[in-house]
Amino acid sequence: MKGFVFKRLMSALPVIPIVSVLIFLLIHAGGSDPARILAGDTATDAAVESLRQHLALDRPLSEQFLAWVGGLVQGDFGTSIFYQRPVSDIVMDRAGATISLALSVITLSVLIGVPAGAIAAMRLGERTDKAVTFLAAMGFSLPIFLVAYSLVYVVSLKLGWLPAQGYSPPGNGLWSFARSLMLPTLTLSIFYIALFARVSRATVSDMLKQDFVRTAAAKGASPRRILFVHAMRTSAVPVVTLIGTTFAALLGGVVVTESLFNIPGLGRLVTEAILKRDFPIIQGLVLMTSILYVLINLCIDLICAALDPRLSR
Amino acid sequence: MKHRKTRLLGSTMFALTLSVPLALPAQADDTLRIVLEADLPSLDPSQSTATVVTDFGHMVFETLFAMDSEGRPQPQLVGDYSLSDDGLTYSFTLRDGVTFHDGAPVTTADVLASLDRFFAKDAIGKILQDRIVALEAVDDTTFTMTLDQPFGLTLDILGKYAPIVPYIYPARIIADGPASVITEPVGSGPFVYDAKETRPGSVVVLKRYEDYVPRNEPQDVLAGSHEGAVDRVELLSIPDSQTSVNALLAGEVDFISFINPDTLDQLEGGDNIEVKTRYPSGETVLLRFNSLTPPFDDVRARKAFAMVVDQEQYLAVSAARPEFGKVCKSIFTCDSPFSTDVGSEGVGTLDVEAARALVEESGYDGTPIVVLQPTDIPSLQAFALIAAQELRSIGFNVEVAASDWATLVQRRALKVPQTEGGWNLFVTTTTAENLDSPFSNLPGNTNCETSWAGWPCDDEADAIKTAFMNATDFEERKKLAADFQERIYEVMPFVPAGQYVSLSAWNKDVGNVVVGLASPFYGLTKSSAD
Repeated sequence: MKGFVFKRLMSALPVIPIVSVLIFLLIHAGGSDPARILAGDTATDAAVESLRQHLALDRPLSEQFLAWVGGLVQGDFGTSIFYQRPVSDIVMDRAGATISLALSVITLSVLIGVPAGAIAAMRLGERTDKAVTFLAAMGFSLPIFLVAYSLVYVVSLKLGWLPAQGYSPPGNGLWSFARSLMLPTLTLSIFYIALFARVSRATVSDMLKQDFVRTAAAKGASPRRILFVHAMRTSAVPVVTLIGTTFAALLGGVVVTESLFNIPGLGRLVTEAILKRDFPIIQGLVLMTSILYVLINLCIDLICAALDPRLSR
Repeated sequence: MKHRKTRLLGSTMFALTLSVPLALPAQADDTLRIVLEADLPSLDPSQSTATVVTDFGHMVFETLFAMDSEGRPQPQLVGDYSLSDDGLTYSFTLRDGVTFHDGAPVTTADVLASLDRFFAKDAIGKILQDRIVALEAVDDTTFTMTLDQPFGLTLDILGKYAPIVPYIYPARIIADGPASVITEPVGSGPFVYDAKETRPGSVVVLKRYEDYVPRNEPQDVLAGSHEGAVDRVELLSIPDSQTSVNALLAGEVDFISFINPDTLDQLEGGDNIEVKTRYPSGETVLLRFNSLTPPFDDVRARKAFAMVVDQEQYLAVSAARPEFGKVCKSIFTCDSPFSTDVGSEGVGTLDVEAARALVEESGYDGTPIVVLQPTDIPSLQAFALIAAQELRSIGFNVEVAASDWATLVQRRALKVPQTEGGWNLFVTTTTAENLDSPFSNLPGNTNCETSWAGWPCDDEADAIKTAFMNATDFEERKKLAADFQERIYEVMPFVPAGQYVSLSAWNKDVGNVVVGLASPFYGLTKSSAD
């Protein structure tokens, strides 16, 4: 196992410098000029040039790259061109909302989607299965903006039960924190519940056809024991993989949901940074997200290896 | 039995969840929440011409003079002032007791440093600087400004309300020179920037400045008292316009600075919501040529296009309803003091055949022309398509270059031909302060390569502008403004494509909303805060 972990770590490490170089080159390839955006539509060329010099954007690309890498080595992700604050501070400010949303979505989706899929697999072809499959198809098909606006209209504007928008950090009170997350969580979870239900239905129904399940049944194991002890454990590998990649994707930012509910998360931050060409934020955030992806994938590999030791061989 | 208990508990929890009063958490009533039209790109009003930065600037900083509802500059930070008999030397004395948010008094050293920064940043500021022979501090509260000849616009420029606004900053925060970016926005205005509570890109928090010393006169647009009426203001950035509307209807925000026209019906149906314009002079759609490169380096090609510009088409996109739009063929905002029809006979005649003939006469060789289209700004995106169709109707081959706004402004700065990555036409909108007189008219600036993107060149228009600035009599100025427009239409560096008003929406608990040439937020009241 130790060898497996070491190997995985070693294969993940080179990703970071490769991603760093690629991000930098891609972002600067278009030759965009944040100074011109910052200065505004009616600014004179002289004002733009003076701003460009002040922001050190007139320096050669190689010099800018070395300065960025030099900072990274010391843990400095740079300073936002627009907000004039350290990128790491801005990201930390925004990360809370995104992590909270990602955790609540994953929890709700797994708690509902996985059992629903497993039950459907147990009752393959029956009404329950058909109902789960139908609802999952609906969940996949509904556009997020439609779900979001409908929920806001009914729950916030008509009933007045929950806020229509905004994020309240836990520091402002746990109740208001929970309430601010309810509608966005529900909106996003509809898709992910459907996804988890379909994947778990497919994997569990595959497992139920395996010889070891038939043997367990022949030995007199109850259907519940067969499902939870035998089938679910072995079908957990693809589900765990899906949980991990979904979590990483949610952490990378869910731009539409964050925009529709005015949640100041990482998805909005990176979109705004791209539109403004705030290079340090884009570079820092993409790099941090890449590192996160690598770490989450590493965790998934380790959990899967624990669930199915054959994978670590 | 256990199952029944669990079920009962579940049902009870569910019922409780539904019945618990889920009203919004009590929000501090003395907080005014304002949704801005865009995220604040900078906290430094001398670095950005974005309107939202000026909205922020008016809350935190002050100017020496400020405009009243008649568009006349009135003293603001200045207490008394005088002009010598020869009209050359102004003497200004600052008001007593005015301090910056860090507690330091506002002194003439701060004023002189701030004016230096303004002169370096603003084209109109530079015009004033070029006329100043001496700018000197007499003591901490008095300074003099000596001009080379009488200049009637001196106080107007010191009270300029369009970006770049000549705010007065503490000398220490601008000590690194005009190129430096202010990261600590300390002013002498009615609200203090709260860096701790501000979340960049999401909310800017401002708190009432307890030691603020207001003027005694009542507020009159930007003139008079600037005293804040609420304890706290949150300037919010909400990216989705429908979300802003939902928030206003749900009572979670108090004010939307500009609404999306598509949401007008919904807002008008809301209880306790007011929808009005704060800027009756509105905005004007501008079609801007690149006068440096073919085919629009030839005035005949520019005039040909001007003939087929149908303002009604652009207004159908920009005005929420027909009554909010107006066909306006003046280069100044219609209904403003200098607006006139002089010289506009060739604009919007819709004579396609005559326009086609003029295009042919201009020698257009069929090379595709590039119209810049920003896809992330829906109205401008549609304007570009209308312009492209009008250009095609008179024989131009048109390529619509779609990109986001950031890429567009980058490409717009290129002076090379379109075949080498340049451009030929872009569409934008601008407000009255960038149009209303020959000296402030941004697209009518014909200073060649130093003028706004498009770089038109015309000495005659420039000479009329100088004469306008030197004139002191209003009637003389009016005549010169008409001459300026006539000349601009002969040169045709741009075509106006309709004037429309944007609408704001607010909760009826909000009062003292200023309607005029500017509409600052500092005087807004909130009845629930009383």
